[in-house]
Amino acid sequence: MNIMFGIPFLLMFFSLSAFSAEFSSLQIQGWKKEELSHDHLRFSKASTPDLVIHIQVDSYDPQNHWKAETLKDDVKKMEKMRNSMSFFMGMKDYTINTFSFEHNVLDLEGSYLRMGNKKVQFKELNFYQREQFVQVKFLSDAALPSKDEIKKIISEVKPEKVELD
Amino acid sequence: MKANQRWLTYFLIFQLLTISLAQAAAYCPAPKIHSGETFTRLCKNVDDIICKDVPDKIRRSCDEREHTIVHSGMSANEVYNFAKGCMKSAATSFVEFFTVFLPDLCKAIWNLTKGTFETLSKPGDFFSSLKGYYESARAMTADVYEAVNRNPGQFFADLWNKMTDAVGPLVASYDCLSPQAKVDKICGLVAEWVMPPAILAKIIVRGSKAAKELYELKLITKLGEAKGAKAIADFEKAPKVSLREYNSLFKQFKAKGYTLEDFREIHLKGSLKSIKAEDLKPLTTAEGKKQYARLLGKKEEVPSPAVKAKVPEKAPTGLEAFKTKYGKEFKLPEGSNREYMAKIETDLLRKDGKVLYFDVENSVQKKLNDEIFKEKTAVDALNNSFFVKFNENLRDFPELMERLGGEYKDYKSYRIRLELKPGDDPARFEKMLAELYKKTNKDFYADPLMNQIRKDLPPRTDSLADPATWFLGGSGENALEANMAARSARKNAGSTVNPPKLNKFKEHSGALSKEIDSIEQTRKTLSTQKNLIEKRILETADNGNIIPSKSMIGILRKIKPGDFQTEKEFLTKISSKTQEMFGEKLDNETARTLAGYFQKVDSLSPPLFSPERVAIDLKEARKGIVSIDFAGIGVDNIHEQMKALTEVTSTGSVEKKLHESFTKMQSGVNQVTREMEEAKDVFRKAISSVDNADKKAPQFSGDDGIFMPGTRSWGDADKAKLVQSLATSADPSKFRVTFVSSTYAEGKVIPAAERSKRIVRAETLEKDIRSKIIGIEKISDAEAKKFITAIDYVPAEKGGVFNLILGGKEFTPEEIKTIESAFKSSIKGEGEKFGKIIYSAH
Repeated sequence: MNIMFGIPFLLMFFSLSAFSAEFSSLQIQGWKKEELSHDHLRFSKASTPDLVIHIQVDSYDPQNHWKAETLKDDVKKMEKMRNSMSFFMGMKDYTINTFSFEHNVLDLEGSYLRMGNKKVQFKELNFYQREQFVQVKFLSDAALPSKDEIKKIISEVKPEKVELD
Repeated sequence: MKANQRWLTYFLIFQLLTISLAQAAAYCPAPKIHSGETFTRLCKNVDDIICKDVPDKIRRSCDEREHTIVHSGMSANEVYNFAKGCMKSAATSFVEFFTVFLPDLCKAIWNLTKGTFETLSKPGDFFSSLKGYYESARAMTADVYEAVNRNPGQFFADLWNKMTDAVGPLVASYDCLSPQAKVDKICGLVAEWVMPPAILAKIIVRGSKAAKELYELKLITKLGEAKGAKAIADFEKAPKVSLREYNSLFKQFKAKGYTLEDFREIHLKGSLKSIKAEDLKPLTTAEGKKQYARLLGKKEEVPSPAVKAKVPEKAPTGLEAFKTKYGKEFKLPEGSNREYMAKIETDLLRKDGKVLYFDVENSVQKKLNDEIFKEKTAVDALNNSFFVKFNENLRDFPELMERLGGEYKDYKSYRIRLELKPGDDPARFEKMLAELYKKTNKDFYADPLMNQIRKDLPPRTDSLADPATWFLGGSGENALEANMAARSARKNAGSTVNPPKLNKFKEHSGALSKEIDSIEQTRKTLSTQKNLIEKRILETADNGNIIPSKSMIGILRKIKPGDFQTEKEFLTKISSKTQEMFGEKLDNETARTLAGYFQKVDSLSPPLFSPERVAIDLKEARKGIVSIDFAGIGVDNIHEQMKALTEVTSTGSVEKKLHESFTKMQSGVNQVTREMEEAKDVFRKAISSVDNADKKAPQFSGDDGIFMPGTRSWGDADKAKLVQSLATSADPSKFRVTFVSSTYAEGKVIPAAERSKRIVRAETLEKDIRSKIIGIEKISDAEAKKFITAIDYVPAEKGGVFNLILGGKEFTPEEIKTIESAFKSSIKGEGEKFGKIIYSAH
């Protein structure tokens, strides 16, 4: 069932990009890695079952990139888009509480309700390169990791250095 | 249309429908109660609106959904069966949803979003800024993965709830139907598309019981291989192209006339990079079309008249085209006839006058069969054409539809029953029925294919002259009244000057009562003519009253006034026939009186109701066909009716008199039917006596029966044995037996439609022989009842050889001479030959 359902939805949004072996060889110490697809890794840890990390890569259009002066409006639009997209996907109230775009990294933090009642917190970091970006997304049914923990994990992943084809 | 386009179209239709119906809701009048509306009809509505562009092969037919019939008067058991039907439908949809629809829908959404991005975005639109789109898509993928991974069941339930929430408003506003009709549509539409069993069960009464049963049958847990997923797998296998490059390439393809679908196909086929964008030719050019065909792996569609001129297949014309179009029998949902018949009984006890019956029948069925088309399939096609149009036109009368409380259809008639509501004026509904009937007659006449048949028909002046008068209609408060009213319109059959209109029983009841009086008066007058009794033109029936003999009824049945240019010719024919049969030449007045008496009684014949029509497929015959037709059933029925009318004693109210008359006639006809059923048993036993190893049984449809030997082809001895066996019955002449080979003498298999024609030909020959041999100076009627004249026919592509099998008595040399002479003189068709006479042992 999972596969059946997962495939269409994964494909519903993506994806055509090709990736190097380097991406698939990413590791986070103490975390169990699952390669969901060639461009999608999932990390989990038995000690913190509520917390997972998803790392994905994709292309983007550098000509239509985030700008500080329109960031607020653009994020608002994106929030709306995510609410629309999540309509059939067991989510609602997709909210982006904080956002920033610095050093070519889009940092988002927010929450949504899964199955109408389970609040999920997320922290999403999008690291942009020339035409690709790496998305590191922390999802937690309880609380998000602390800033230091996130910083530590990101330093291990080194997204800005992930080699992409 | 390509699969993705198709789904995309559905998706858009679905969206548009939601909007349009939501808007329409405000204008809808008060909800109407479609209490008796059958699912088939609703299904057709749905098909008309939504599914008309869906190819037949992927559209679920109405037949497949026919269990889903809802009406307000349903019993608990019916509701349960309805629920079960819906659940079955939903279970199938459930599997299809996951295996076909969902993956395709996902692809369609993908296309939609990309397509929108490429073609529709404008400043201010949702897609005008793609900022965050890719990021969001990725983010959402992670979210969905976790949701599914943590609690798949709950995720599905939530997903379904969302979908049904989205579908709910659509259903709620769905063209202002009553709640019951909406349930029908939910089953037809939603179960077809998205409704899962779990949600459906909430909607349908007793859904859980049905679900349990289906679960036990493993119908709702079955999941097949994801067919749509294969397409997605292909998508994944296709050469990877960055989205940016993909979009950029598409713009170039689009500029040459390619659609996004074309482009995606090319990508999936891996041929996207087999051509440089600058080498692309516009699709408007021949070279571009060739390129298109190559890239998509299709046959080039550029017509090249010199080499590819398509030779059109020869389309069937005239009758063949008509049979092609209307050959498939129009059927009501299973059980309709039975339900209708049950309601006839209960309605007879009602006195509230809130039931209205309508009856329309092909009044010239027999003549069309015997004299014009000479094949049952042609007449069946004519009837289908009329009944299909009637059924379609009925839907254009919503008030009739709302009150539709039963439908009946058999090989020659269509009957409906309306349950009026409090305050309904029956006259208004009879008027609507009259309009419906008139429109159907007009449509039937004006059908372009009918037009061709009309042109091909030989000019006639009788009841067959005008197809607009072939189907006659009537209405009344019960089934019998409606049928009587329809029959009383027969006097207008064939009249182009005075085309038939819907006859209303009430307008005729007084006249009908007088008619019954006049019938009896006529009979009494006739019975004073001693010569008629002496010559056995009239006989004393077993109730002691004098009525025409069966032989005389037979003459009056065969000789119809409409077949003659003048009354004089008609009467002369009757007279000559009575001279031949009874040795009594009738004067015109007596002939006229007898004919009038017969016609009046005939017009009162009670309708026959059959719970189902048995379709006998003649193409199944491999080793020949044995056909049985029970002769004289029509004569026996009229005889019983005549007898019954002599017993009517009511002198009070019109209603009482009519009731007694019809009840007694019905009782007599029922007796004939019972005797026919007994004769069928005799035939069954006779068949098994010939070859008891053959486990096949005869099939009966009305008074016709067919046996197709299964073990071996029958030889002369087998055929003679059957005749001999039937001849031991009380009235052997009742069995009109014909043997027809399933292959031509040349060895070729006879097509099914042709087999039907050849059986009719053999039966006609038997009738001709008997009409020629029975008479005052030939074989007496009483003697003729003792034997069987079976026809054994080996058809050739033109004509064929006929043998005659006689059985039932020791024939005198004179009788044999008479029979042989009649036999030979009746074989006069092209290529037809006399074979031999076979005598079965007596």
